[in-house]
Amino acid sequence: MKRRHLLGALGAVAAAGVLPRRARASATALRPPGALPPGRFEEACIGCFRCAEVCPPKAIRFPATLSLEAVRPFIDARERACILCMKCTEVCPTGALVPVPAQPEAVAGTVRMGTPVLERRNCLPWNGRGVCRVCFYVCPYAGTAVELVGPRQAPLFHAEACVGCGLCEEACPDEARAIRIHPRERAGGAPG
Amino acid sequence: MTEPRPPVRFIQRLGISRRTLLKVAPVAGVSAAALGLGLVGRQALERKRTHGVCRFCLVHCGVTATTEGTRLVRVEGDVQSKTKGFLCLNGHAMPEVVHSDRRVRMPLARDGDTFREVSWEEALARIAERLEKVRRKYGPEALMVQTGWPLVRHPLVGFLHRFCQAFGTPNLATVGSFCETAGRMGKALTVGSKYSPSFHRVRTLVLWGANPTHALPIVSHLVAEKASTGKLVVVDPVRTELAALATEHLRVRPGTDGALALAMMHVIIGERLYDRTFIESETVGFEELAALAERYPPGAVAGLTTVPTEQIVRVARLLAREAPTSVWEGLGIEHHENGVQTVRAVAVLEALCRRSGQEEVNDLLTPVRTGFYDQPLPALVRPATAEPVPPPVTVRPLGYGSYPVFEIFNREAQGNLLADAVLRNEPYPVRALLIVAANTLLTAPGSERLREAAARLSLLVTVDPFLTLTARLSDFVLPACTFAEAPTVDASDEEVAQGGMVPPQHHAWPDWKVLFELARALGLGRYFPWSSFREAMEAPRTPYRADPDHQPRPDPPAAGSAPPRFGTLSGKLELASGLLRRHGFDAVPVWTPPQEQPDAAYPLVLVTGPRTRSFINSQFHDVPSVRAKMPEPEVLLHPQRARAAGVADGERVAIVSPHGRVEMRLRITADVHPDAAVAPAGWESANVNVLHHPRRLDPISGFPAFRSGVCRIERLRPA
Repeated sequence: MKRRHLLGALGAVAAAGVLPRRARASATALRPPGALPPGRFEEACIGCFRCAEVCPPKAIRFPATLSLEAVRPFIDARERACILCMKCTEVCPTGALVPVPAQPEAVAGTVRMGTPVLERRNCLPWNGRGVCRVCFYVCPYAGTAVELVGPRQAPLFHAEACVGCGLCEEACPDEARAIRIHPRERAGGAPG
Repeated sequence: MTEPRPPVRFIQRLGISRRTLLKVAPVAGVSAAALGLGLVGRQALERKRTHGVCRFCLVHCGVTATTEGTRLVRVEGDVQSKTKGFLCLNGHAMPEVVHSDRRVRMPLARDGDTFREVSWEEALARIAERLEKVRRKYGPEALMVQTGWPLVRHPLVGFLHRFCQAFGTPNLATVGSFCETAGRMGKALTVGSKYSPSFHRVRTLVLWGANPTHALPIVSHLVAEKASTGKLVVVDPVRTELAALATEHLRVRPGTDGALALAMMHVIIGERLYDRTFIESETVGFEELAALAERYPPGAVAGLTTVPTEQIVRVARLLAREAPTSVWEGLGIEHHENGVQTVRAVAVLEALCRRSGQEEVNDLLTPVRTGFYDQPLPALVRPATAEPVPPPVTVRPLGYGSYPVFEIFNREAQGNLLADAVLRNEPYPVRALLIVAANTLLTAPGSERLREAAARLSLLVTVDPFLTLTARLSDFVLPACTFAEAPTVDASDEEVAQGGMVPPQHHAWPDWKVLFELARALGLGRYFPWSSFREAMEAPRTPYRADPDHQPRPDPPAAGSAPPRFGTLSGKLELASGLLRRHGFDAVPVWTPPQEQPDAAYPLVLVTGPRTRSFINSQFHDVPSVRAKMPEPEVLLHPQRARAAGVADGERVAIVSPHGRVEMRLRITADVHPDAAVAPAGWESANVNVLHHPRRLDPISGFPAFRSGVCRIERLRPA
């Protein structure tokens, strides 16, 4: 065995150690940013893992399976949300993720991963249990996608301005769990 | 060692070479197989929740941390804490900060253009040796210790003072040299202590040069509530989120706030809207003040401040009639050459709106205690430390002579004078700098001169979790833990828990351990006998560092008079300050125009450093989720000015001032004052501090004039 091969093999073992954790895509899982519309995305994606590799917060994951069929990336925003760095769209070899420049305006114009739904009963400022507001502070489009209203400065979401990154869902405290990003189900249309 | 340090190009890790890797390959192979088996049967790690305190800023939000093994996976606001579940984006990014791959892992020692990882013992021994050399050659006062915002209210500051005294240097400077203390001084010179409005007792709340939505987000709902349940007045060159809600928004020209306050006093005094009983019985210097305000009629001030005459009159009447009134002032009025006097003007304006017998609407107002007259003024720091107390230092700190009022109130060195001490040996040479959790070369005024000074230093040591700009220019970088890894100190800075939220990462040490061990390496271990921070905090304390000659005492009261309400020299609310008069300054809050005025070449007033939603000054720039919200710095400009300069929204432009030039992206918004360009600070790629005069400081506090420079906006490529 050559020295080079041994090093390569050791590298491969090390890489196996950092593979994504056992994961299962749930019905509320989001597609990565810039994904083609449902249906076309699944056709275009070859499950090459590159998006998951470059994702800085490791938000993009793949379902754990031993089958040889292609698996599709998903984001469980409650676990780890997308920070909209758009690196995944740069590396996608098939165009399943359409390249979007990582500029706030460009992202706001094209990306629609899902729509936010707030359960006011559970939201701390709305139900008066706390002053939280963390969703406003983690939102990349605070002021437009979510604004603070009224004397309690409670969050009010505006779905039309929201890209659906899920940072608010991730940040929403366990005691509340008031925000859910509903994935875009509508087929056809522009990439999101 | 005076040759300049070359920029760091390499970091040499204490690691394994290819050869050693091959030697251990067989063993590694077996363990890798075992690991593989382990991975197959791997269970999810147990999640644990601990309560802690976020110490990224002074709010000290209660947090609940979720850990998996030794990893911090999630941080959320603690609903049971006094902050009721509030958490901002910086606090929420705590796991990213703790587990960042940009952390310094081991002590780094400079070797030419390379940082070599060395052991803690070696690093501390080498630092101690070089500090000794500096002490022998220049005296102990040639060491300056600077600390930044993360630590300014942290109990560790007390131990830094102790360390300095043990070493024999009086020079500990904190970020108080250019943040917040000018406000504290201005208020204390007027009413005897710093204070803040108690939101529920105030009827009219004024936000003056403050933007709590970004700087103190936890209270923004209390401020917003005033807009509907009382009156909210915002004085700010920018139409902030809260200004949009406000009853009145006075869009003042930056640097003219003092004149605006005087014009309002002119109205209140002229129309006799003040309470004569209160003014006569509780204040001193009214005649002097009235004579000053007389010179500022709203009509004349309107042109200067660009606030319409009618609005000045209207708001002045509102403040006086809709009492109780209180002002929340921010750095917006402190960062000027007339900063302390502007804060004074605002505090005096507020005093004119008071009524006799009115319920106190401010928190932290001077407590009147017995023995008040034997003590220094209430606002002054009373340092205390544990036995054995290190021998007193007779050398005076930097700024003792040139900014005596700053020293009196803060009992520390004025850090803005560091470059003078290094480059010109004024008042004496400083040759060694120990920076604990600060990024001085990026955040302090006069960055270029500081860089020059850093090159002249015999020793520069930085203690920080990250390789900051300052750290990269250092001789040694010592990796400190974040607060999440150090034993949790409760929000009131008293109780120290047994452990932190997660164990220390890599080879980082908690900051207290770095300091105590450095003291031991210097042979000062007898002053740091403690094995843990908790033990050190629990040791009983005695007062030290008294300076009776320099500390003003109040005048003794006249026989039979009532006990004083205010901790000032006269015991009364000082419209004319006795202490300022004693030190040769104007006793009444005069307004002096900034020395740099816009002209044809530099038509804009330059305001730098307002807090943005992402980041706290220079922190968090390496944290992906925080950075994602503001990928690059943006200068705000009014559409009118953008048209004149021929620049478009989103374009990269140059901000050019008489002192420097930086490039950043342009954001055109009608929310900003037409005469101003507003740029954020703390960016390594665009350090706005180079745009300001390096040595033009407030004569009372030594504060820089970050909010009243001049500049023009230039296109990068001519069309």
